[in-house]
Amino acid sequence: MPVSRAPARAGVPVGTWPFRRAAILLTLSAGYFGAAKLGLMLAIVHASATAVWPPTGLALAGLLLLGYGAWPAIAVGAFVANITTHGSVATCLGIAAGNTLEALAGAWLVNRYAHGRAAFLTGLDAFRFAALAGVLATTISATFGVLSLTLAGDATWPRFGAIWTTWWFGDMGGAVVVAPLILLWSDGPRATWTPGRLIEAACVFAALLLAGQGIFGWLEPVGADPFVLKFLCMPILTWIAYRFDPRTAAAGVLVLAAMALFGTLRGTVTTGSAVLNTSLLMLQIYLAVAAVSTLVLAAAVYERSQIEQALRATTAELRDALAEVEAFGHAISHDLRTPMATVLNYAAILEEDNRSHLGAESVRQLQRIRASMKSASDLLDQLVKFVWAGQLTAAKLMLDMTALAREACAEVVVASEDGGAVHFEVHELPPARGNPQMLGRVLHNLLSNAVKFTRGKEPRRVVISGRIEADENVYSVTDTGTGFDPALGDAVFQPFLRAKGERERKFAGTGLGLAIVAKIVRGHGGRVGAESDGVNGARFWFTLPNGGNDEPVSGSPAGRR
Amino acid sequence: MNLFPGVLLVDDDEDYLYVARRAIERAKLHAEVRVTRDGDEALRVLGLRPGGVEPAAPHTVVVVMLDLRMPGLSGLDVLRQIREHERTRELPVVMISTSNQPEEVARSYALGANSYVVKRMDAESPGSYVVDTARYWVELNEPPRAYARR
Repeated sequence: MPVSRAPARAGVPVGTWPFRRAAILLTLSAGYFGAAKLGLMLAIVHASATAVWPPTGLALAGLLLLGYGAWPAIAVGAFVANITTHGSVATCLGIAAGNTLEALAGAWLVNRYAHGRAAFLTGLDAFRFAALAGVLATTISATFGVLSLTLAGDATWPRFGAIWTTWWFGDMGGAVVVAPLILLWSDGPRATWTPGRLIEAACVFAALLLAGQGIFGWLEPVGADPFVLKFLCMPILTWIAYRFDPRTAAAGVLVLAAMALFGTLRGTVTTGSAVLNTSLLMLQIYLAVAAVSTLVLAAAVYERSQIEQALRATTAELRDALAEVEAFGHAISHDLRTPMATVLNYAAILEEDNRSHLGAESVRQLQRIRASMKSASDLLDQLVKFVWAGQLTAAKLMLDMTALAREACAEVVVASEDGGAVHFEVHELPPARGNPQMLGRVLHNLLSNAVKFTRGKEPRRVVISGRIEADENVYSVTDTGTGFDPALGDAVFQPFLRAKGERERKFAGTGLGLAIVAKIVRGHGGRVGAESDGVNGARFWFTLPNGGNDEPVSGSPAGRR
Repeated sequence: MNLFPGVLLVDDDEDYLYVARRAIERAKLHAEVRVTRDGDEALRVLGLRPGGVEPAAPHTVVVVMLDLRMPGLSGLDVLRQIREHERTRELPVVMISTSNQPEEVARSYALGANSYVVKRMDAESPGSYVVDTARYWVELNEPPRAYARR
């Protein structure tokens, strides 16, 4: 999983201080007992079966946080709560066994499939928690409990379904409302609270309390059951889930549950108890839906924020690394250039000063030293340009590509000894958005290649043309030179792949010219390609996106170089 | 006392200094080449620091050809100090560097450099670009009044 989770502490230290562990287990047991007693106060369909059962959530969270070994605390709490309320030792043992197994099964499923205590930190895990611990594991307790009652004759078979359903819904509500609250508040991530966020939280919780009054009448009884209004809480809970951390969302759900329960009890005091049980069941479903939606959203938002953070960190790291590589490249090129210049210069001076008494062989050797050093220095220049071709931070302007191509032709003619012998034909080119220096370099490299490979051919002709297509402009440089092996295809744009003959120094080159072209064009969002039959010249083309050609060309000609 | 216009070369690279001086001398440029190996020494020759041995030197230098990257005071540090002094505020300074990084070029001009030349690998005639640069400033350029030849 790409999401960093809350620090997975290895549970409460066991064995280092047995008293501490015992105290925690005792607290869990007492908590379970208290919560169970509260729930049993609302037992309507049967003295042992209630639609409100928070202990399920407590037990589940307890086992997830403390480990499976904490089960006796659940068993004892459940047994004592039941035996002091209703039923024989046997039925109470059966009920306690169901409660304990439910918690164990739920905890195991959540550990196995939903990342255990971190279940509310990703949306998918939160869903899994609701399905596995909320819906599935709770059937164990309902089945054990109602079977125990019925087998002992404490309940009748015809009532089995009704009691079972109440039991199941009660446990489900406890699992999805209470467990997340405990898990998130004991172990979950904490957001930093700025004063602004505190004010926002105060406002949104006030809105929740206000809406709760409108819906459930927890403060002042309201008249008819305003069913439609029940949805009013959702946008508020969604707001909490979207803007705050998962633990705040869990707190929002708790507030909703408390208001709803209180209001339902208060609003139906006068109605019959059967109606109350139905209300409580409806309420459980409502709360379960609200809780799962809110917690899943909160988890998904948290997950996204974590991914964002990780992505930002990675981006920053990459940027630093890139800057370092660039600085390194510049430093290397500086440090290499100096000794290269020294070798080159002294070889030249040596030859100049001693030409008269050096043999022809020695002069040739000196010239080879100079030639090699010159090509090494050219390679270094090209390497620096290759690195530079990746920098696309430079501003992009609307460029007059025709003017840019003409400039490149002029440059190439000046730079090469025989450029004047080549006939250049620059057609009208569609304008494009780009960096003038870099696209100038693209044209320069393509044109100097054309000059190089038309050497010894007649006629020497280079055509630069362009056309507009649906969402890109295509520019091509076609020459009448020697072409290249058609089998190479687009591999000609790979660094250090030289045309045949280049190794024999027929064509001087560093092997980076076309690689630089490809890098710059791709950096501009375009494509490159080359075609040749290996005899009758070559056509090199590149595309630049034209954004559907809805952009007007700025009045000024191409950016000066 | 030599009253040829002075070209002050500032560079920590002994080989570059050798090649540059040799090229200028061979080109029969009517200039007195002064060589300094670091920024401090350059500032002394220009009379901006005490300890310069040639009293006339500060007044004969018509162009400083200043290496950008040097240990100790960098070329940009030296340039800044030259521009801070009233007497040398307008003295032509050419930055010389192996680098053509846009930021370095931009910073040089921002600090008041008059020109920026990238060190070249010239297989045919070593140091010819130094000669070309020096020739422009010595023979073609009209220096500010304070540096007019005397």
